[in-house]
Amino acid sequence: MSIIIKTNHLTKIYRTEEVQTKALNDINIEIKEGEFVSVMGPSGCGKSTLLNVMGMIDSQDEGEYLFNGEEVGKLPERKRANIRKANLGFVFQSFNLIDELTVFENVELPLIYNKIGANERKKRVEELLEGMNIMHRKNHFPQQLSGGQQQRVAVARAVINKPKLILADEPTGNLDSANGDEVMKILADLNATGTTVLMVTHSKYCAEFGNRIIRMLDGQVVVENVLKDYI
Amino acid sequence: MIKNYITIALRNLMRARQYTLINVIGLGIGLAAIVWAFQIYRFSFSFDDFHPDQERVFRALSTKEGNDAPMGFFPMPAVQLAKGDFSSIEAAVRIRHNTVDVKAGKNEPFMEPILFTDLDFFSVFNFPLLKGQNDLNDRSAILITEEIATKYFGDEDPIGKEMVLYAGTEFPKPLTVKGVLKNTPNNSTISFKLLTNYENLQHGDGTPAKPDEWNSMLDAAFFKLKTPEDAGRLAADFKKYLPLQNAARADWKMTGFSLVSLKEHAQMSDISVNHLEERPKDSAIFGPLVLGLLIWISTCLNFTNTTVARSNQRLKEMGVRKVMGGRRSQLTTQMLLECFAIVVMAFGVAVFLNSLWLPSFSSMFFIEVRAEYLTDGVLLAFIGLAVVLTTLLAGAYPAFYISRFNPTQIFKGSVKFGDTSLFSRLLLGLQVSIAMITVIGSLGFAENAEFQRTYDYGYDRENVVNIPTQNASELAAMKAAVQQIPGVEAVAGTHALIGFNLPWRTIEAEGQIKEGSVYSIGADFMEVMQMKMVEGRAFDPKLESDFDNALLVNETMAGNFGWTAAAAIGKTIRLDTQNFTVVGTMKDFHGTMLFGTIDPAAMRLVRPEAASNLVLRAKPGEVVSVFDQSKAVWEKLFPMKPYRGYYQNEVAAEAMRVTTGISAVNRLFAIITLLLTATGLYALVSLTLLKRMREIAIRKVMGASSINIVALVNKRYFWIFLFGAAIGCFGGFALTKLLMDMIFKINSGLNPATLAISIAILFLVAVATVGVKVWGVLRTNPAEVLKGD
Repeated sequence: MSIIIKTNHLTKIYRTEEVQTKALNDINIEIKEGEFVSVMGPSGCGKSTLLNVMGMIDSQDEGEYLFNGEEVGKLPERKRANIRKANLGFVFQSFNLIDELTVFENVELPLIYNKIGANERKKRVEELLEGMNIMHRKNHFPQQLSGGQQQRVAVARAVINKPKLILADEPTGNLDSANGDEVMKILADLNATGTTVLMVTHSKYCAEFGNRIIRMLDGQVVVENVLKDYI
Repeated sequence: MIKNYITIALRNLMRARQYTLINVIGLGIGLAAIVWAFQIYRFSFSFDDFHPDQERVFRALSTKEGNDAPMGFFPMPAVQLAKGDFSSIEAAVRIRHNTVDVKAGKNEPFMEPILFTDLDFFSVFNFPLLKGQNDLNDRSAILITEEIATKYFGDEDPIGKEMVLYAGTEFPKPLTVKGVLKNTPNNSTISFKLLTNYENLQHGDGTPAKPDEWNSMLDAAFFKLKTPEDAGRLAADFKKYLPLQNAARADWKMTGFSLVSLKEHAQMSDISVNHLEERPKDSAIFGPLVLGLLIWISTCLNFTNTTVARSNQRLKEMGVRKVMGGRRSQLTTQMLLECFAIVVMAFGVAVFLNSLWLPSFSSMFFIEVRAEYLTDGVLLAFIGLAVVLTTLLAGAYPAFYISRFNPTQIFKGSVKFGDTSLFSRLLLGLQVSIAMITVIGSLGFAENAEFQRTYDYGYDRENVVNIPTQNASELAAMKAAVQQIPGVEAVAGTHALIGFNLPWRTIEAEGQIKEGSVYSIGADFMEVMQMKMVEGRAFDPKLESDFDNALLVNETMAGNFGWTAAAAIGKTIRLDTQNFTVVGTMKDFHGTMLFGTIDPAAMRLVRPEAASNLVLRAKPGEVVSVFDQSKAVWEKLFPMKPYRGYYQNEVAAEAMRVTTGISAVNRLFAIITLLLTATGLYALVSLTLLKRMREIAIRKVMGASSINIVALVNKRYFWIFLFGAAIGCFGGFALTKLLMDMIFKINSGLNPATLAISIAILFLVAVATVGVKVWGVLRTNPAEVLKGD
């Protein structure tokens, strides 16, 4: 399998007037296509920062970030946005659905940015919503849904564009165990069909849905555990 | 994509109804204001642009001895002579206005303005014919406008109907209606309701005007040239007529002529003795333009501030869109489209507001301002531009500001957005300045209205009624009758009236040639008008010499010749070919409206048979009753002639109407800008309080007093408010004074109390606005705020 993510001495520094904090400190990781990698560590260890840099919504200060073999860390925002919308899907802890859009419209959004035609969009969104058992909620607004339903919509939005990589930041953090399980099962199923997943979590239970766990502390990778081979 | 933008825009606007409503109305007012200002500007600079040959049509102007200003008068015989003398002239038109009594059928007679002109009129000017024919060659023909057709004939066909003109005399002139013309547009320098051949003009004694009367002046003369380049040479060639003209009018010696194109002429507002219509004065054009722009900018600033203030609610959406692959330019476009949607809705409000406002304004200032959105291409283009500019001015800052944030910062909650940034506060300061300018304008002109209402014109204008008559016998009969009215205190016959005649003459004394007004008055005129002498004596009708060569001068005229009031007595003044001796110096009086300064003036005594106007002074409080009674007396004495009486106070009416009108416009706009400022301030204070609730709660727990909290909340705004008010004070003072001086040579100016009251009003509005919000915070239990921690 080819390498989808590779970082060389990746460093991210947050600066305030008085203090400099290394949120990521010399990170060297590789993720191959089809892997399900969980990132764990205490709060403030740099997990989410790593995810943001990998998702190209933030950039490193030093080192390299190769996505599909291309250095993307220093690309202009326009090119990063193009790579992002073509290859990545995001799932957030707090769902981050747009309150003013319906379920259908939220899921449709990435397709719009990818200039997919209206008929094709309708077909793909409805198929996906059907598959996720939320078709009956397609005209509802996010605030009319339960947390689990909202996260399922968020996952649907993340995968509608058939991304190569899903980045999930504490996807079950705001859910009860039943809904959490359901979301994890969806992510595992997506991984099983070949989608690479990089997930940040505090939960050992969730982390073990993946095939590898990266443990971080103070901005550094301290240990990597391979749990199982991946397909 | 666009559909998605529109969907989210509409849902956002529906969700934030209060915000939407405030901004739709606010921007609607701003758009209405600039459409109003633009239409005034267009109207003012569109005079005579409907004549197709305006580049080849020239108005002939003259200059007079002792005065280099171009004058509208032109010697009457010179027009037709010139047409025969110079081959470069294709057409020539004489224009003479008059007011005549008109009678048609069994209707009562009305006074109407009529224009006497030549056959070439319709080959030079474009005044469309609606019905009949416009052949002025037919001397029995009279052409009327559709307004007159309706007024006299209602639904009947007016063609072929007879109208009898009483051209300033008792001599009737029956004419037949041969054509109906469209009403003259309001942006025409030539205005008429009735039109007939120049040869139908009659003198007061019923004799027809002759073509070689060199003492006869035209109100205007126009020439259509074969090529415009001939104008300069032709004006010089016209000098050949000067000897004939000056021999006939020693009192009005001309020194030369000029030809100005119709286009140029329409833009001139400095033609002296101009009896044609003029475009509005610069002050009436640029005053509204400045005011309209200020209001528009203020509403845009208000939109910007309120949008920034509620932008926190849009942050998550922006972050998500960026994560989904949305580029900053796309997000900016989305925000601008939302603003565009509001501006388009606001335009609907502007249309509604202007449908109410423009007619009111037009009737207030006699400037016809209309907005025909569906048929006026230029207006549509302007509105398109205004909508785009408004969108950019109001929406660009929020759009670029909101779309710049990084999604990671947004999701972390670390974006301190919508805080009361220096930029937001500067916008507020600018709003404060604009509000201050309009408040000062409103109060300043209200003060000026009061000043003008009580201004001492130097004579009694409150209790005097003027009654023009057509001859000495009418005057004598009327005088005898009105003296029987119990409320009448004094009556006099006179030739000239103050404020309603133009007795402008060349005056010579001690080798100096000056100009001034020379009034020919009856013996008791000054007593009726309550005019005062400063030095010397008034006229004495018992002295025959007073009729022959006595003159009174006012203080200004004495001053113009370098004399004191006392020194003027006994001086010799030459009027035309006759010498007069100054027997008295009058206290200065204001002979015209307050738009101008006090004119140098002189008075000479005329014999009773030369008087044509009756002036009567009523007892205080009885002037209306006296007016009505004198009208009844007139109608009894002369049932076939319209009563022409009017109040002397009408001399001040137009100035009063203008100043009260400006005050009313400013008052309206002051209220709007104050409300906008209050809205902007409320939005910013709300935001500050929202972000600082926790801090305020902790401070309260720590023992902060209400005053501490109020100071804490307000200190961010106090200085910017003070700064904005100071700039506004300066700007308001300067603009109001400038406008006042442009319009009224005699005005109240601005006194410090006006500025102080303006500041007080603005601060009161600010305190009330902030107070409402802060009061709520002061009453909040800090435990409620902190329990979430």
